[in-house]
Amino acid sequence: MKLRVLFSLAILVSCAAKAAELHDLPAAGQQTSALEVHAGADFAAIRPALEAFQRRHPGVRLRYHEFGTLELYSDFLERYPQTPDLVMSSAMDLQVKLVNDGYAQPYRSPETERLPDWARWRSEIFGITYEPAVFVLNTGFLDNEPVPVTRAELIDLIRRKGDQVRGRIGTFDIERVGIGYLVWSHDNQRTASNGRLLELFATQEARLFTSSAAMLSALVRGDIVIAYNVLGSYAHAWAKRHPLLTVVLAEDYTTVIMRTAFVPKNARNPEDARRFLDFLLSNEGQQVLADEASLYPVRGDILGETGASRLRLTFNSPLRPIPLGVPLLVQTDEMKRELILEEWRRAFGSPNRQ
Amino acid sequence: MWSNLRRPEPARWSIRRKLLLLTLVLLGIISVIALRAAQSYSQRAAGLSYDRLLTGAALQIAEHISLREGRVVVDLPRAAFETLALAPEDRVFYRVLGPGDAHITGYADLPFPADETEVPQVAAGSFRQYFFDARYGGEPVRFLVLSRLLTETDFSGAIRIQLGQTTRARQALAGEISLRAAQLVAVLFVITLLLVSAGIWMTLQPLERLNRALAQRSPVDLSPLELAVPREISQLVQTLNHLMQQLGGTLNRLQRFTSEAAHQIRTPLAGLRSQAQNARAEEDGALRWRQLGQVIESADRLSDTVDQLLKQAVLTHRLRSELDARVELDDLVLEVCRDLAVPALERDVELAYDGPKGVRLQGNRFALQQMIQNLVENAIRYSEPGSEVQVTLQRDGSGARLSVADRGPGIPDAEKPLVFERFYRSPGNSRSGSGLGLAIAQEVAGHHRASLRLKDNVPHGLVVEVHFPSGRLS
Repeated sequence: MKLRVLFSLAILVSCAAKAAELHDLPAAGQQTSALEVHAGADFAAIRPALEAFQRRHPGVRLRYHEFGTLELYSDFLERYPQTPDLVMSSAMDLQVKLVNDGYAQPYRSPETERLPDWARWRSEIFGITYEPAVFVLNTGFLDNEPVPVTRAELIDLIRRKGDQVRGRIGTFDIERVGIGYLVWSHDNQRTASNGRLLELFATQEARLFTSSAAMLSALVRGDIVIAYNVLGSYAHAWAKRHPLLTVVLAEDYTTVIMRTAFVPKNARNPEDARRFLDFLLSNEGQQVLADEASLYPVRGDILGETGASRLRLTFNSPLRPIPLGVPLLVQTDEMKRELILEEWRRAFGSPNRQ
Repeated sequence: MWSNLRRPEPARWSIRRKLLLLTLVLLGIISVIALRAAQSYSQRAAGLSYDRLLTGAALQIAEHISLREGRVVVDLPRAAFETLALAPEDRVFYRVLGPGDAHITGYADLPFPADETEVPQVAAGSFRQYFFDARYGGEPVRFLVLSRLLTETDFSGAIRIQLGQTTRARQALAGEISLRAAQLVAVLFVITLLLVSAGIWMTLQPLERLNRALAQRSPVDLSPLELAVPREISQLVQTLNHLMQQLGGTLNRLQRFTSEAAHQIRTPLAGLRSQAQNARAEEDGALRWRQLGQVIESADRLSDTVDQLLKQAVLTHRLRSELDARVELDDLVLEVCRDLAVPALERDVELAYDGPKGVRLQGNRFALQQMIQNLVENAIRYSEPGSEVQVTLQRDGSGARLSVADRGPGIPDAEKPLVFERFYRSPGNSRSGSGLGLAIAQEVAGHHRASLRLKDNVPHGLVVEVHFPSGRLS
């Protein structure tokens, strides 16, 4: 046990040590202030929103540090009491843990008040985008069989195809990917089918990936035929370019995670951080997220290609957002995490990492 | 000076104002007490409900603690945290300690109370628990520590679960309960004030009616008021009616007295005039002399009457306006006798006084002097020359007795009740006199609660007895 804890800590530390990627967006006009954002989001995906913000506030220089979600968390604690001005990540459990431990400052504005209850907590942390965890199929291997639309049908399909899918199922390595752990541990508490899936993944020698991009490119190449628990925004973007890929929001339920943001207590430039937060939550910002950034805006009244309301209209799937709040602390508990990982490791034996 | 004008002393404040002020003060005190009570109750109620959430969550966690291969495993249940999330805005801190307070999982640096043995502990089944308040993470936090004894074949030890929650929700609940209570108190305050105001208005309404009835009355109307009023005010109306009745009686008496007096003066004046006329026409010197003597006698009697009338008026006024004082009765009697001794001797009547010293009573000295003087003068006037008038002052068990005895003709029993009336004169009486002396004496005696009685003297003559009750003596 002791050894394993040390092992997982070692991963955290090694991740933190890995240098974050800095994207420095100089002010469009005369620079009046600089905004430090630490984020766990793909820079490429969110870039249109950042640029739209700078068009609106030309004096702000944006220093956007891109991290993995676990690194982001450990880096924050390591540097404390030095903090960025805004922390944005889709690892909701780690974000809530930071807020619960008193690192965030409250902020209320007309924009934050418009968020639904489950998308904010204590007026300190706010959901910005909406990420359904979907599964994606490479329909090439289906031989005109109908696409499975529930987890039970997926399990049936995997059983029927047997050897055809052995080694060709991909999912997140939950030990190393924060959102992978978040979705898996959340589903684990809510549904019993997770156990059966884990068993099946293990017997079919599923491959574990560290990013959505890696998983989807493997899917396009045909290295794998099923990608489970991919982030919906990436999946849709890839499916648009590769018609062979079919995105499925399961009809039994689809877990939805949020990319959340908070302003740390010690932020040096909280004014711009709040302005940025308000912009991301405003009609304009959410519309940019929906139209140009390939991210799902959290607000239900935004209509766009990836708006939450479009998701609901297009797919007959009950969306189950993970609400912000203290129940997320359970997933951050060291012993709980160890128990979940232990089960995962036991199932996979020696996992086939990519 | 100015403030005196602006603010009359409390005794002159209007009843309405006083009652309203009193009601306001009382209501204010009651409201403050009620609000205080509601506040402490709401704190307790809110505290209790959120403490139960903490207990429930801690028990759920305790259920998920088990032993695997000799080590303590905590499989945190999501339900426990969902229970705590019923306080949606509150942060949660937890930790689990193994035997010997070894850290198992959770927040390692949570505070413990300074002295754990001081905190009251509650034991239920295999659990023991206690609550305490502390600050953590920059906010006040309510903590629960729940201990459970874990025993297996190869393991025995106490597990402690510490669970803390910030107090926003309980403060909000307490605030809401307090607010509701405050609203209720405010509503009750207003309703009570309205009811009391209406009550005061209704209570004072009969007084208003009484006032109107009196104001509308003509100044000569002294008939009793006929007004339907509550019992408390009917007494006032009765007193008023009584007063008016007395006033009416006084006015009547005054009227009667005036007409009697006018009659008493007019008749002798007419007699006087005809006597004077007769005298002027009389040619015979000796006869005229006698007639002129009659004129003088009539003038004397008239002057006596006027004198008595004035005396009575002064007397009545002084009796009404002066306060009673201590009077040395024996000295007073002696003084009157001394003054009248010479005029008595002129009529060849001897005046004798016999009495003890130091008889004092509460009374009007002037009036008593008038009474004694009248009685003694009367006695002298009706005495036969060469006889004696005896004035005696005695103390007896029931008071003091003053008697004036003469050896005159006396008064027949039939006339005795009549002589006290004003201007009454015995038909066979030819002596000068106003007919007011005994009436005045009786008025004075009545003022002093004394009884005045007429008795016959032996063998003939009159004894006037005045008996002062011991209550008036001092």
